[in-house]
Amino acid sequence: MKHHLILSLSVLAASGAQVLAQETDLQPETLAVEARISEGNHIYLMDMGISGPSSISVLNADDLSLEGNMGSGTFSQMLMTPGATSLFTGSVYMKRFTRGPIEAVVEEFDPATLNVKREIVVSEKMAQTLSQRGALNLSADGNYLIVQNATPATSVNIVDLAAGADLAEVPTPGCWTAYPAPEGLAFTTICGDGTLVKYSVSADGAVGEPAKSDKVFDADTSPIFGNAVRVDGLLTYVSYGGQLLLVDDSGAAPVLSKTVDFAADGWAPGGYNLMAYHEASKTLFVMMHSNAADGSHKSPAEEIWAINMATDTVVGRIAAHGESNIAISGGDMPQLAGVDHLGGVHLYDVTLGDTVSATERVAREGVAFFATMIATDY
Amino acid sequence: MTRFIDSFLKRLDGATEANIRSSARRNGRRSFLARTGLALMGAAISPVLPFDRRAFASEGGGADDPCTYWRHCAIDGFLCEDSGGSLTSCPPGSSVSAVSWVGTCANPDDGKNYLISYNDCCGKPFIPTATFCNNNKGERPGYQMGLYNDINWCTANTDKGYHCTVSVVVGTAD
Repeated sequence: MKHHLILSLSVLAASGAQVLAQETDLQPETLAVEARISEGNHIYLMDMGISGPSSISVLNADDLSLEGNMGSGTFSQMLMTPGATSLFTGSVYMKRFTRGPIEAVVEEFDPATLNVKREIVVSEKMAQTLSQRGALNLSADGNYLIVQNATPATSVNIVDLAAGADLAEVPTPGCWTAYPAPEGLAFTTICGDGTLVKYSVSADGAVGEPAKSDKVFDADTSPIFGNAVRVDGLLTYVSYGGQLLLVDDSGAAPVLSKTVDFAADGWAPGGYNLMAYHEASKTLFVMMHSNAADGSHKSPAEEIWAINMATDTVVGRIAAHGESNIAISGGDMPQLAGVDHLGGVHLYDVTLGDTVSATERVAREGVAFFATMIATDY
Repeated sequence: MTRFIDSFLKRLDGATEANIRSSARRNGRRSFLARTGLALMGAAISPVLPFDRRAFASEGGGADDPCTYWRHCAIDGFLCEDSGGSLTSCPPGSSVSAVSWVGTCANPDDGKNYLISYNDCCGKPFIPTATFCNNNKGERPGYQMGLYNDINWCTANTDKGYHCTVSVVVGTAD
């Protein structure tokens, strides 16, 4: 019956098109699917679902026009690979949306066609947490995904991408985030006792003994953000108070290489994915707010400070627009992309030199409801 | 789509959206953010929600803003009192999260600090018109999980969908 109905409707539609073409001398239009987004530069914005799907909007970097999106599950993480060859998500699909069984899935998208290349069902322990850089990462060789779990007891899931399956679960009690080591299948996590712990996993899934750093911070008096970026090979964290902690995680155990105190006059870092590093110019960008106090560490940015990591000095203070997440493009003339606390996107042209400045080139309000992360493909 | 977003924003919280925009217009961005920062001492905010209660803070906060109620000093979520429950009860048919995060908040009436358990209520969709608060006094990342408010605390329940959040006094902190 259904087939008959569809056939009838098709015949009617075809007849109608012919009549229309005859009467108006118009060629019937062809329905198509756009093959891909435009060539050129793009911004990828995670609009995280807390009660349903997440959506990653893809914006043209020239004018922030929308070119398409990708969809993933609830509490989605996002990871753009080096060279923008793939975009990974890790999220939870609640089969009845709000109750009952769930399925945790890693998905790999083509950032140009926005198609799903593949998906892997992984451990349901995947953390249902705000999108953050420390929750979904690729191993140094690109063969494994490193996924933060939380039940809320914490562990880290190693996903073998070639096998398309979980390889190992590494218990990490009292610790949070997992940043891949520069070599090998290993990661470093922040622990509540103020140490950083490195775990190594062999190809057969055997987990090595944890290697613990000295105490590098105090969770009560000088907590650090979970967000970290790699600065010239060193894993770089920032404290609530405005101190950078540069950590060498290439050896057996993480070692604090140096600290940089850069905040002043009541200003402090704030936001979520609050740092971005432009390696070519050795410039670290950090979102900052004034009148810092207990509880202000997620305040939107009033300024974005530029820190020269060769001289450890602040070389620029950029007027911001209430951003809560930022990312930086590559190239000699980088652009800084940010999303504000109302879901508006801001794109800045950065001027490098002895001092660093930036000018907002284009902005667009209300792109996302719950923007949690931003990335570029250039 | 822009029209849809505008409509959605208005439906969600027209007053809030209007306040934040008019405030920004009147005072300029720098002044707006600076005043927000001041008002947020002990009551900081969330990333992105378009119905962000910073709007009230920018207007001086106070009694009109339910997010400034002392118990909510480290809350991050939709208020259950706007979702069919109350300050200390989950709405009908939902379930209480098996685990929770904790804040330490000062009651201005007696000057004492109290331990507040922020339980999520689970198993139903959130109510878009409910007040959303995001305060972060004493909040820490997941390496101090009991103080972390950026995860779904319904994760340990059979029904894991996030619905709303309550603020329950569970002890004194002094």
